[in-house]
Amino acid sequence: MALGIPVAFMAIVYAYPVGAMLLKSFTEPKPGFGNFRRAFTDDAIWDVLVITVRMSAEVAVLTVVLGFPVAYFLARTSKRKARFLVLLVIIPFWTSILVRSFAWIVLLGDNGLVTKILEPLTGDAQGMLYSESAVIIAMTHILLPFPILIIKGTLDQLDATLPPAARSLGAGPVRAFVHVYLPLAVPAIVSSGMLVFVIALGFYVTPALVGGPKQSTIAVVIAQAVQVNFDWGMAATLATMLLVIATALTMIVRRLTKVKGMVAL
Amino acid sequence: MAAPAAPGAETRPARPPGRRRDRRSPTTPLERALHWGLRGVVTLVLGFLVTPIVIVILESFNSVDYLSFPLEGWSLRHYRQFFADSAWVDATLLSARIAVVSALIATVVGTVAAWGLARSKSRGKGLVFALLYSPLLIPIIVLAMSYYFTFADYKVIGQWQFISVAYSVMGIPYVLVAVSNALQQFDPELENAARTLGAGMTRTLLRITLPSLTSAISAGALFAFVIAFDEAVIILFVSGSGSVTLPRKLWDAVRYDLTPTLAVAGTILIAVCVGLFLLSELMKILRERRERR
Repeated sequence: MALGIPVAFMAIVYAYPVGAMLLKSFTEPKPGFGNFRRAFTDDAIWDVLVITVRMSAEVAVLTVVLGFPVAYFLARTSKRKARFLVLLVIIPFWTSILVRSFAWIVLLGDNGLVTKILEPLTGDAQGMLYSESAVIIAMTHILLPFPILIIKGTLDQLDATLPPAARSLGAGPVRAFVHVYLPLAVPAIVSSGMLVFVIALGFYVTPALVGGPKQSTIAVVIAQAVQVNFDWGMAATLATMLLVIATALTMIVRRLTKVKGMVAL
Repeated sequence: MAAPAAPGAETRPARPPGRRRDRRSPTTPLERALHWGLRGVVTLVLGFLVTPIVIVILESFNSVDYLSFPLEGWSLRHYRQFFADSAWVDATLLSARIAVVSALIATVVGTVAAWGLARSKSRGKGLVFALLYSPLLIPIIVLAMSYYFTFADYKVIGQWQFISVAYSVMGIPYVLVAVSNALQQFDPELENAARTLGAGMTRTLLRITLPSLTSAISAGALFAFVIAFDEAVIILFVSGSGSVTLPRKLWDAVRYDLTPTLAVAGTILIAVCVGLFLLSELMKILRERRERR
């Protein structure tokens, strides 16, 4: 009985709009698979898909590579220190994506701090704003808290006596880490990387603000279809494709690992 | 603290000498090198995470009309400018209003759902949970398209009430998870006991169940508020000209011109969201402390 109200609410204000959107990809402007045919035969759309997947993969790898050492450190340092350092991860996490993208515009722009620091090295006063590197840096910054918090969550549960045990049996520190500790962390590493990949696929604000026309992701093209071309059918079609891909990948991640609840807090 | 030591404090066995050291202090040169290497990497990565946020806050105090780092000088003039400009102030107030309404809706719906799910024995439970939880997993641009089309079809683009409802959908998963977790710790026998002692259903809910869920509900509500206050994608399509929220205004301004006033807007967004987060952490710590006593 008590479930009736939430279910009815979600049906009207959530399932209906999403369903209507999905339907539009088959009915707008005229019924059929025309939109999908158009999308799959359009080279520009393929390019966008390739760029989106490539940038998302790069960001996923970077966040995991940068995030793992932090998670490892946080899991092994004292409780009190970890509690403080985790704040340094969570505060950016709670800061609006728009504000963080704005911050990178400031940092990477013509007079930005990063540009100034790099200028003697590169001889380039232009700054790297509106480039793929800029998008990758900003997205890595925005998504980095996910792997840190997820991997830390797993490492916290690991038996802390395992590496010393390996050591006492004669393994060196590197060997103890690579053969004993790391394998236990692999599920969390893989699933957090895939999660970042899925979230990155749908990113809009950051590529739109920090990237140039060559960094148009699928979300940017969806927005353009609506706002510039008034092509609702194409926007709905691309959104449907994105939704299908994201849902499939999310389900795979959940199958692979039991990382429960993406409320990473 | 001046409070008398907790009972048991003196009886706790003294820490064996040297225990702290041999916990994980590096011994061989290789280990020491790895240890310091790790520390260096961690410092760099944490610096990378925090620096952009610090820069936004610092820029808002810049004394000149353009963004520059290091700052030319310190001043509050951009804050004065921000609060003198009714467009920015209205946008901030609108964001707050939308966030309050949508957090209220999300809290009520999410709490009822969590309670219903905890009590339900039906097989459709998993499906209901998936429905309520899925807004967290679907790409926001997909949600944005969905609401844009529906709002356009029903000609409600730019009406803040509808935007609040749309945002509440994104807050529901957070409330649901927070309250569900709390309900798992809650002993249903307490409800049964109250009922057998003659309390009616409503009375039991209000006097027994809800009070033990207060902190979970408020944590969920806080999440829902922040989500709605911050939201910067859906609003780009549904705000029309009538509902320019703070993120929407910031988005427009960023594409037009970069000034320290934008850093003020950014700082306000940071302050509200991070402030609420720290508040919830503080409440959690205080509660833990009270429970330990």
